[in-house]
Parts: sequence; structure tokens; C-alpha cells
Amino acid sequence: MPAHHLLFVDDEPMILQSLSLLFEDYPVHTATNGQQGLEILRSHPISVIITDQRMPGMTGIEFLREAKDIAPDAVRILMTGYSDLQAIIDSVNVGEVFRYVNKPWQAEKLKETVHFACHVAQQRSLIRKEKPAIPAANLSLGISSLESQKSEFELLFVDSNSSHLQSFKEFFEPKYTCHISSSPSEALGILRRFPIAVLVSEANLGEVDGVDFLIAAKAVQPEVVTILVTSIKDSKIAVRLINEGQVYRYLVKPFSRESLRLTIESAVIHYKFYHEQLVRSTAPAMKSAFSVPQANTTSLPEILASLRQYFATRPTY
Amino acid sequence: MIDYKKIKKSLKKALKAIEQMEMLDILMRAQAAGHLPPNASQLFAQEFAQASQMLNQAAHGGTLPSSSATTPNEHALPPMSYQEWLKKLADRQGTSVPATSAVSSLSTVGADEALRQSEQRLRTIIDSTPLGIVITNEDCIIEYANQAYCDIYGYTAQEMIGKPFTIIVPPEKKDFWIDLHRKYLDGYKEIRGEWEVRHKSGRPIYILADAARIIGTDGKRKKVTFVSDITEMIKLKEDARQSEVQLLQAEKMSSLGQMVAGLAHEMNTPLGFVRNNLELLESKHHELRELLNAYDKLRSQIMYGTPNDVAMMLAQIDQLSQKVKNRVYEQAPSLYRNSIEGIDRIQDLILNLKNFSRLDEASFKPTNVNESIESTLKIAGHLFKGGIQVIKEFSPLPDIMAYPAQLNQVFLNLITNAVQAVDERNGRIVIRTMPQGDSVIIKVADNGKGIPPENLKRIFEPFFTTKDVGQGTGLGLSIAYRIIEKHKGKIDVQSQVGKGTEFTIQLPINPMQTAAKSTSSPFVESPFLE
Repeated sequence: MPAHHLLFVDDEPMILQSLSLLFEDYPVHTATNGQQGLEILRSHPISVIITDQRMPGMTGIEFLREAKDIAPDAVRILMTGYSDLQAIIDSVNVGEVFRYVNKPWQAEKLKETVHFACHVAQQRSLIRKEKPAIPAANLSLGISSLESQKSEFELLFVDSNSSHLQSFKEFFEPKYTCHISSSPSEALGILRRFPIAVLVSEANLGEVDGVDFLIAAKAVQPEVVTILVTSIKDSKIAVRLINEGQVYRYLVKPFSRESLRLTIESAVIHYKFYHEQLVRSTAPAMKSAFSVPQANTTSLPEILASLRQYFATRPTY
Repeated sequence: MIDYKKIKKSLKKALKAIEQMEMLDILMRAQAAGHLPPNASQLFAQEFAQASQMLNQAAHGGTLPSSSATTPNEHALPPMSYQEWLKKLADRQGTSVPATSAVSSLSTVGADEALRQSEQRLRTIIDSTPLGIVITNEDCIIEYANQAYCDIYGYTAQEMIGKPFTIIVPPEKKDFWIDLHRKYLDGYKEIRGEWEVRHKSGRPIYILADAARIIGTDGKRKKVTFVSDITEMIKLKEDARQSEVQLLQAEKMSSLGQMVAGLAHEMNTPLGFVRNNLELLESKHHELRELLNAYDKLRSQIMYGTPNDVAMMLAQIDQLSQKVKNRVYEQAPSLYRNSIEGIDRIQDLILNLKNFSRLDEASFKPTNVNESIESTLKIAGHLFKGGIQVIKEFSPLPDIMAYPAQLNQVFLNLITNAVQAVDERNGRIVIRTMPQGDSVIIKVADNGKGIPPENLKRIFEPFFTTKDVGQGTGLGLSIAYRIIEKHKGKIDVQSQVGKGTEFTIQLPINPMQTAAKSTSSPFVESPFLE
């Protein structure tokens, strides 16, 4: 494994010094503001970025948004003493962070997390080498050309409100094969039987918490891109969904049809780019992240129980 | 919205009109009975026209929505002029008027008819006014109630007239009202004001009332009360007050939330590196221990072992000391120093928070404004992270009597606004304090973007904001204004677009002084003091 370069961005130099010593085995780069961080990203092959959120000038999320363009494969971690609710939700939707870590952090856990993040970064760059980048311009072109013909990708919507499910189906069916379910257990079955690209779930599902369900779905089917739809902005839910569920988007109701459509489009592209490739080439490595029962017969409550145990004891954030 | 002042004015007019009509009524009866010389009728006919006009005006001036319904009546029944009245009277009598013979006759048909007509007219006017009018006698019995009055309470006239007026007051207030009624008739209590009464259904309704004392034809004292239903208005006012309370709470919570967010971040940052430093040092500690153990072993080898053992031990020590000579150990002194500084920083923050909130102090007390500003600046410190410069020009100040926690809130608000107004790179905020006579002056000036004149006028208005949605509730400065007002001080603002803004606060050293002078304590002149 080649040496992974780390980048720490924090306006507090003492944090940077402390982190540098914790990661003395790695080539470490530090920046006291976002601009400086972007400079480093342009000139060094960074695998993992750890940034603070509240910084003068440029916030952590603003920095990450630009970092995504400069170094798309670098794994992004937000580590902050406090950030408001909107910032946490933005860290999902805008920063697309890999982990959200609270300060003060635990040294060993952070080390394990960074170690794992390096692994993920390496896989990402492998995929990119195999499948040369899709330029942003092509992406939008791709969407419009897809408009007329039916997409090969399948979507799964889970909501306790059946009329919502129907309207999702009506809206997306012309383009995608849509599965709908009001029962999380049934949805799990669909997820196992069909090659679902994007899973959209409401947070309030009755029988099982939608957040739990999304986390379980990701554990069962790591390739699936998950989206939470909720009327509740909650920082705890958002942090759990980032750290345990690698959720792709946190959508707060009400939203327009158009914004849901765009979210689904970009989720499909995301799926196509990473996970489809991943399944063909280096899938086992990615799957190893979750030591969760994979047997097709395991019920949802059993999966949830073993996940709870797994997350309570896992060495990373 | 209904205009209170207008209603009051209308009530007064109506009151006057009724008084005049009552007078007129007496006069007419007297004239009809032949007790007055005929030329007297000229006087009261004028009064009659004036009074009926007044009552009409009052009814329409009340601006109650239903008042428009009476407009046709006004046209249908214009105030009768004296000439018309005389003419009608003459028509009925078939004689020229005024005729002494007619007047001298006690039961002239024409005079009776005129009386009946004028009464009819009076009744029409009174029954078409949206003002509730009720006449209550000395025994608290309702003698007369007009249609509007009955409508307000939901009764029919039959259900009201002859009943005690207490049917419309809250049962528990019955005694109070009877007492008030008596005292009113005796002339030393007024009815004027807003009252809570009861609808027939039992639901509370609110009225604006005024009253007049009259002597009835029976020679007894009576109370004429004029009533407007203001239940809707009261409800609207209450709703507005409720939402204001909620918004004030929201503003408090949002500034508290911002404060907590800022402080949590400020505290967790040093906690982050302090914890990490300790973990680093802890993890290296066993290596140092091992090295020391190896030295111990070496000593015993030197004393009792073979040269070969010593050589082996030395090799091991070399290895161990190599391990210990890592970057963590090199930087250990600064890790310790940083950690101590980090803990001091957290301690400072907690102290500042305590000083700022002043939760453990008396709420109204001698306060040093300079210290207040200092503690506010410490709490707002995280705002100045960019290139924003804060210049303090404090003059020594006498303590003022104040609510320090509230003043801190005002200072925090002004400082926060200043920070938001200035450029992060070259922002400059100047805070000046100076004594001035019996007051202290605080000036907070910035070189920010300034406030355009049209906004400057409205800056202390509640809910006025130029910030983006979610950035501010627009209540901060209105709260500041109210706090300063409460301290009997003044807050003023001057601003120039592109140049900056300056807020000036003037606070009296003793806001209670004026009050204290007027209510001179009985002990000042007490002989015990001498």
C-alpha cells in the first residue's frame, strides 16, 4: 500500500500539532484555513481530508464542496467541536462526507477511521483508473439523452403512506423500474431479489425506524445508494446516517418534484460510477467493511440486532 | 381594526345626544302639558335637531362594521327641523302655530300625536344605532335596552327588560357590579372602560362602555350605559400579544442557540487537543517505563553480571531509547504546555459565561458598564476571528444602577450587528464609554456597510430585518431598545451608507432617582436620623 497523504484543516494550530503527532506514521499536511487547504489539494495526492467546520473565511463544508472537485477520490471527514443542524445536513448533501466526528475525539478510534478511510480512498482511485472519469458536462448530457428511453436502473421507494408511494411510482415509472413497499421487511426482500440502484425511504415507517432500515439496507447491499426523506431535521439522525449508513442524501420535506428528480438522477450516476464498477472488480474489499450476516434468510430484526452490536463495538467512528 | 379613540369619541357624542334627548323629552312633556311658554319650543327644537344629528354621527363614527347597515335609515329619517315639526304639528291641529289655545289644552290630540311621533323618531334612531344603549334604574333593573344592546348579549328585549342587569355580568362579579352601579349613581365611580361580561350563552364577551346619569320622568336616578362589543378586537390583541411572546422567546432561543453553538465549539477545540495530547503522552509512557526498567537491569548487570550481559543490555537500551526519541517525546514539552493552556482556555470560557449570564448575582445592582462590555466581548470573542479589529476607548465610569444581564444582552446585540456589518478583512469596531453628567454614554461604532436612511428610521421596530431569512428574527434591536427604555436611558443610531454606523446609548446613573424624589421616604425627616 503506497503511503497515504493526509490533510488536516483547522484554524487552531494546537489541534494541527496534536493531530500531526497522532499520525506521525503518515505524510501529513496541515492548513489553518480552507483556501490553504485547497492549495495543498491541488499540489499533493491527498487520500484523506479531516476538516473543522467553523473557521473564519471558509467553512468546512464550503471547503469540502470545492475539495470534491479538486480531489474527488479523497475521503472527506468533518471533525468539529460543534456545528449547527443545517451544517450537519449540508455535510451529507453538500460535503458528501465519509464520517462526521465530534471533538474531542478518541485517538485510537480516529486512527482506525483514518486507516479505513485510506483503504476506501485507494479503492476509489482504482475504480477511477479502470473507468476514466466521466466529465461533468457528459453527465448532464447523459441525463437528457436518457430522458426518452427507459433506464436500466431500478429504484425502491419505502413509505408508510401508500398514496405517496403511488405518486413516486407514477413520477419515476416512465424512466425507471420502480418498486414500492410500505413494509421495511418486504422492502428488504425486494432489495435482495432485485438489483436496486437507489433506495429512497421515509424516516417514519411505523414498524421499524426508517433510519435503522436504511442502515440495515446498506449493510445487506453495500452497493445501493440510499436517500432519507423526512420532515424532521435532526442532527443525531444525520450523524448516524453518515457514520453508520453512508447515506447519500438527507432530503427534508417539503421538496419539489424537480429536486427529487435531480437527486435521483445524481444518485443513479453515483451508483453507476462507483458501485457497478466495484461489483465487477474490487467488490469484496468494500464489502469487508461490514461484518454483518449476509445470509439471504436473515430477517430484518436479526440484522438490526447484529448491526447494533457491530456499531457499538466497531473500532472506527 | 377598530379605532379605540374613535369609539370613545362616538360614545361621548352619543352620551351627550342622549342627555339632550332626555332633556328634550322632559321639555316636550312639559310643553305638551302647557307648563312652558310657546317660544321655548324654538330652543329645544334646535337642540333636538342637533342631538339627533349627533347620535347619528356617533353611530357612524364608531366605525363598527355593522354601522354601514344604518346608513339607509339616516337618509330615510333626516333630523327633523323645527319648521317641519311645527308644520306637522299644525297639520294635525288644523290651526296656525304656535297657538296658545292648543298649548293650554291639556289633552290636545295634535300635541299627543307630535309627542308620539317624536318618540317614534327617537326610538328609531336609538334602535338603529350599533351602540348598545341600556337604561338601568336604582334597583338595578333594566328599564330599557335598545336592539343593539340586546344583540350584543344575545337576549331579546323581553328577556332583558324588567330583569336585574346582573344577568349580563360574570356570576362571581355580581356584588362588585351592584356596588359599582350604586356608586356610579351616587357620583363617585365611573363606568368608562373595558369590561368582561357574559353573553346569554355564558361565554365571556368584552365591551367598551361609558355611561351617563339621568333623572327619569319618575324623578328617580337612572344610569344610561352605552356599550360596544369589542370581543373580536380583544381577541386580536391577545393573539398579537401571544405571537409576540412566542417570537420574543424564539429570538431568545436563537441567540442562546448561537451562543451555545459558539461556546461549544470554543470549548471542544481545546478539549480536542488536550485529550489527544494526553492520549499521545500516555501511549508513550510505557516506552519510557521500559527504558527506565532497562537502565535498572543494566545497573545490576554492571554490578553482578558478565561483560557480555552488559553489552547485551546496552544494545537493548540503545534500541529502547531510539524508540523513545520520537517526535512525541521531542514535542512533549509543548504538548504539556498546550494542554495546560487548553484547560485554562476552557476555564476562562466558563468564567466568562458565568460573568456574562450573571446568574449568580442580584438582578438589579450597581453595575460597571466597562466591565459589562469586557465580559460581553469575551463571550463574543469567537466572532472576531478574521481581521476584525476591536478598539476599546473606555473612560473610568461611575457604577450605574442596572440589570447587568440585560445590559450585556444589549451590548452583545450591538457588537454582533457590528461584526455582521463590517468586512471580515479590515473591519473596525470602536467601543467608547464616557461619563456625562448624571449619565454614562456608550458608543459602538463600526466602519461597515452602513444603513440606508429608509431603514434607519425603522431599525428599532420589531421584526424589521435586512438579514436573510433564518439569520435574524429582526427583534434584537427592538429588544435592546426596550431594555434601554426600561433603564430610563436612550438609544440612538447614526449611519452613513458605505462609511459605517454608530449606536449611542445613554444610561442614567440612577434610573430610580426621579421616582425616589417624588415619593420622599418618611424616614428622611424622621428625628432618628439626627
